[in-house]
Amino acid sequence: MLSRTIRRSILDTRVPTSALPPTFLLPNRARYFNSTTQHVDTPPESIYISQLATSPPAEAAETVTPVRRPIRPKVPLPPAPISEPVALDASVKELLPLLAAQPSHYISAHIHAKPYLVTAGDTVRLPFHMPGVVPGDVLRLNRASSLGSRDYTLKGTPYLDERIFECRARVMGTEAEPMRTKEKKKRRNRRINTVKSKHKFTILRIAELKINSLEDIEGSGTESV
Amino acid sequence: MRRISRSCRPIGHLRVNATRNTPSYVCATCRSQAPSFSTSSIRTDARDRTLGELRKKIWGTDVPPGLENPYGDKSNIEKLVVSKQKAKGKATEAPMKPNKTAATTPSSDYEPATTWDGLEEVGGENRNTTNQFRGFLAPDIVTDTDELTAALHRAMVEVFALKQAGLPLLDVSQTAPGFDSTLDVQIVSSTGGVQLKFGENSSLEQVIQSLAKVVDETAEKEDPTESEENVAADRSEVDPLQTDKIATPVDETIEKGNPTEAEEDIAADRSEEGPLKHAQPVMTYEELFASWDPSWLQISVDDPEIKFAVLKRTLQLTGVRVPDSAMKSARTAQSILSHLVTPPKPRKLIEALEQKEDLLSLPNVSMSGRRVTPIDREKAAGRWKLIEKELESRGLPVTGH
Amino acid sequence: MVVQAIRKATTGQNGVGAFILQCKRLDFHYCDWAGSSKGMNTFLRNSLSKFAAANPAVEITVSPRPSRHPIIKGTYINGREKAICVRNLTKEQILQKAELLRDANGEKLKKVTKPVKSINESVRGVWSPYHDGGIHV
Repeated sequence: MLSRTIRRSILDTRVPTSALPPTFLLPNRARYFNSTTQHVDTPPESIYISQLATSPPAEAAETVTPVRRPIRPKVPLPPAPISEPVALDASVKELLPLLAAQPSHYISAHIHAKPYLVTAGDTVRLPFHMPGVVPGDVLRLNRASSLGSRDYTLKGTPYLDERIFECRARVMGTEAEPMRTKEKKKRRNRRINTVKSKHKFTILRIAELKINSLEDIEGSGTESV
Repeated sequence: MRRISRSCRPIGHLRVNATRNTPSYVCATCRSQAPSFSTSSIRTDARDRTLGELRKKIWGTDVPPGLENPYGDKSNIEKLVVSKQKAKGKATEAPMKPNKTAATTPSSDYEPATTWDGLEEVGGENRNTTNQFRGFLAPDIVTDTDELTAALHRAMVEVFALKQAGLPLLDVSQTAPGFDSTLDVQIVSSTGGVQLKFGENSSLEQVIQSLAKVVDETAEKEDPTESEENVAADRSEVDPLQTDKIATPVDETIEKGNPTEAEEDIAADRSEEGPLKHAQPVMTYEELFASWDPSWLQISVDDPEIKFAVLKRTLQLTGVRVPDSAMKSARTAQSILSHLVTPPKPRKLIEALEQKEDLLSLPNVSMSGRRVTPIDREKAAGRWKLIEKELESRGLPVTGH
Repeated sequence: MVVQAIRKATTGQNGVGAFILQCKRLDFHYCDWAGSSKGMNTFLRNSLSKFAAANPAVEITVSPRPSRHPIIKGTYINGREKAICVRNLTKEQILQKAELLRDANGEKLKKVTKPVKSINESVRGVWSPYHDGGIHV
């Protein structure tokens, strides 16, 4: 259940337009005609409450969102905005600008509870085939356990608040491994069973890693309150 | 090794005689093509002589009793029957009468030909020119939507005209399609039923007349040949309803009529200019259709007799067969028309794809009707002319595909 | 004077800014006569238009390949090709194969053990014993 929650929450289509190429370069429309159907459940509200300490997501907002085509498979909607103000520690308030000022950053982003230590521009081969995504899709990774630069590291307990950073990954495509064959042999029996397997993996590329400024973080919290 | 000629044995004569005079029905083609023919080398007179000697020896007298040829000729009873029939004057033997070409006995002024000039031709392409089969359907299947619509309208008008006149409906397909007199006839469905409204150039009599006219002309012209009679008989058998009601003059003429010449003329007319040109050559199909009441397509053909007559006439006019399933479900003229104008299934995939608008409108899709070869790729890249020139300058053959 | 190349400040990384699909062309080959092309012909008749409309970045060509099994051939930006024989497959299976070719990057299949690949320098640098506060004896 947890994995589904994350899977749903990282799929984010709200991308700043400046970061995007012209629309004809985006094969996003391919999603509407895909053979793989998506089986994404709406996560129960309790998880949001317990883990992110937020108010229940506005279900009304989700239902209002117009569905463009009836044949379009169900696409998970972006997570509801968090209305609680961020409770930042004084030390964090002091050191976060210093961390952001350093030239390069890394993040330990979690996908399906597995950490990936990445910087901007890295390629991640996920150990599974993510259903319902097509090349060109942008996912927002909102679960991270640590964020750092050369001299500073911000550690989450166990996770960082998702308003502190913005990490986006682009789906590059699907890769497969070479066919694996495994011979299964029992003793005193000449029968050999050969098992073949060939798994598919989704490839992501970290398109953006940005640390939000303190005003943005606190502003977004107070704004909606 | 010495060979014994089998035909010398007495039993051989008997066998030959027994097989020779089998009841001889010979079909017209065979009769015209080949004279009576036997592989046996024995001449008739020689065989008769041998038989006579045999009989004399058997009976021991010069005048043996019984038949001259006990194996081949007809029995006395059969001869009696034949003579009785002759006395009656029935020409039952007429079809068995030998043809001119089949005559085997040479006349006294017979002179063998040295060249083939002036000899009668037997077989070949112009065999049976007098007896050509003419099908019920139109020689060419109509595919044009406008022509199909016009044909259906014509069939509807003719069928309902016959119904109005109280004539049997299947008279409609008795004649070969000729001059179309139904062009300015309006067919309207009203509450009381279907009404025909005739314009200034048409009348009910004219329409009825047009269904019988062709046959009247040809009736006096020629005597039908035997096989044509058969054809006509066959054709009349197609409609069992028709044979019951021979009373109308149309039927008599159809039985007697020789349709060949008149039909040829009509077929020629039709193929040249189409049925509409006769009446109003300036009128296009659009104007014609606009002049009709649009409600004619909604006329019900639920009555199976009407439906059958309309479909049969349409089949005769256009040559388009409506499938049985569609025939059953068709309730109005519109539904018949929709099945008539359905384009045939494309045989090649590329033809089917080229009909798809959504595929053609896509800028990233290109289709080729034949295999894309390496030369095609070079041509697309603009290199093929250079390659060809270079090959020629080096005296190499320009091959490949 | 020695000609000096200008050093590139950054390396191009597809997907960081703009994204370009690696598959640039898909060739669909069919045969009109053979029974193994039945599913392929159905696919071309029914599903190709939707597939092509959903993937405007991929050039799609359809051409016959008489008396051969039907294939789909993908051409990639890196110059490689991938061909899949789709004989006796149904329309849906062929759609899956076409999507596989579209999603592929054209590289040979390799066994990958490390999930993250990076060309960036290490963020925190190499650990040095002299700069880590030292060890107090």
